[in-house]
Amino acid sequence: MRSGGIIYLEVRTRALKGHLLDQSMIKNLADLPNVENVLSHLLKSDYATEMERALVKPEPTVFENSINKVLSQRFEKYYDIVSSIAISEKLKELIYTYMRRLEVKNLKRILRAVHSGKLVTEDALIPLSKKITSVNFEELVKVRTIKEFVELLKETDYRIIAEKLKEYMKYDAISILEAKIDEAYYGRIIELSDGKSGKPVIKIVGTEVDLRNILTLLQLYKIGAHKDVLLNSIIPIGYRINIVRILDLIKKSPEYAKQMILSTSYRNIVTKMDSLLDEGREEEAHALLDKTLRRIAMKNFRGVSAPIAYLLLIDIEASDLSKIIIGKYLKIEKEKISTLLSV
Amino acid sequence: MSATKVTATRGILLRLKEELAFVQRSKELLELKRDQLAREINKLLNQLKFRKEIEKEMMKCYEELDIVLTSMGYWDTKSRAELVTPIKVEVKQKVIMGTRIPTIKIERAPEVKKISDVRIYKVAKRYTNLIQKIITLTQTEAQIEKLAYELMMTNRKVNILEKVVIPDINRTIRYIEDKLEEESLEEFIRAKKIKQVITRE
Repeated sequence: MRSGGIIYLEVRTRALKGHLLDQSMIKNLADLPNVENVLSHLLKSDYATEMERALVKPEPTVFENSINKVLSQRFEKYYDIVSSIAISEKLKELIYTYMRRLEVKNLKRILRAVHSGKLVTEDALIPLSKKITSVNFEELVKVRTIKEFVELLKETDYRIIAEKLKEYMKYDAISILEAKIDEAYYGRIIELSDGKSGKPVIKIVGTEVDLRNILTLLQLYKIGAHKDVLLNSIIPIGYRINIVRILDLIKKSPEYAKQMILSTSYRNIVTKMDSLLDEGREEEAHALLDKTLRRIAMKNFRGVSAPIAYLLLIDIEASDLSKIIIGKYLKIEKEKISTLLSV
Repeated sequence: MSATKVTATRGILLRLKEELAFVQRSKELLELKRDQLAREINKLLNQLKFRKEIEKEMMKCYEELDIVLTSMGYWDTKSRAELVTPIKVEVKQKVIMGTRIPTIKIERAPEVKKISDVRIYKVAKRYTNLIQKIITLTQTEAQIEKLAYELMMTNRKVNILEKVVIPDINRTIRYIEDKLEEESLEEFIRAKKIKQVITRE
């Protein structure tokens, strides 16, 4: 039986879900003739304040930052709601951990900048308050070497990236450390979602990890990456795919691993992704991932998984809006923009 | 040089004749240089026919980049694009008919292998191929520009020699020759008159 706290949280989350732009609205925005029309519609939504500010300097980067700011504010607001409701500490921790998906994006951007010998600017990061972060970004943006970066994460949940430092040095491939950050993030969520009530959460998160791994495998296979880079770029967590077996197969030949994935319950989506990549429609392959995640989040919007589904939906909505605004700004055809969206 | 301001002496006439021979030789040399420069430009102009193709390819690259920017967002695209090892080029100079023209040598082509996202990888690879073509085109255009400037200057010099300097020297020579002839005639008449006076006495 679900506790009163969880029921209340679900109700509050459902109410918040009502603020999200529904699929038809997103489609309509994509069909609008220009960026000005899109912005005038957004001025009547939760994005109004930030968009008004962005209009002072109407540039794609400014709009993207504004959308990210709303995304971050929504996470923060949700954090406050969760912390005020009487639910188990473990569930709270699960939700707070899930919120770190924005932090993960920032960590990867810093990691890439450090790898390229550059300093990351404040603009390039999603603005996150200390409430929803577990790392010290002020210090992280100052680091110059990957070793310093790893050292600063020693006391956090991302400490496991130190395990792959040697491989990173050997292959000079940042995707190895990015995969380790993902492993730390998704691994902690799965660890916190044990038990019967956590099953729908694992369904959402597990599918996301599986699909990300599949896409990484297909992409790196297409690029012709070294077998060891491929092996180290996969998140060693599997939900409906046997990741140990896949890693074993990659060692023999990445082609075998691809064949094995094609025989899992993801075969339809993998076949589609593979053919999209073959046809040079890589962006649509990524959109397919978002589409699947949106569908799973909508399907599992109940009980303990409602907060996870809600947070995922906010993230996907921000990504869709960003695509629409940038696409309109760059005068990309509406048909093309529609293929890049999650709806 | 104005002919009327020249002192008409045999010495100056001799110097002017030498000068004329030198200027004519210079003109011939400059004409040779002009022809050679024109030949070099013609050779390079053939390479410019790829410009349209490169422009088309560039437009395609921009279109693809726009789609990647839309799909990934500006900051993520930038973050991943920074993984590309930048191109390294060396600019040297070579001399054609005394004209220094630039040559660009790609020392290290951009390396895109570190990108793991296939969307940005594809565009980066396309740009990598394109940038090498753009550099070759830039080199050709810069060389043509330098050679064309030199050709224009050489042509001007030839024209000045042909239309101003040589006719001017010729005019001066003619003036001095006339003047000297006149003087010698005057001298002859004067000598004749003196002879008549001496004979009468």
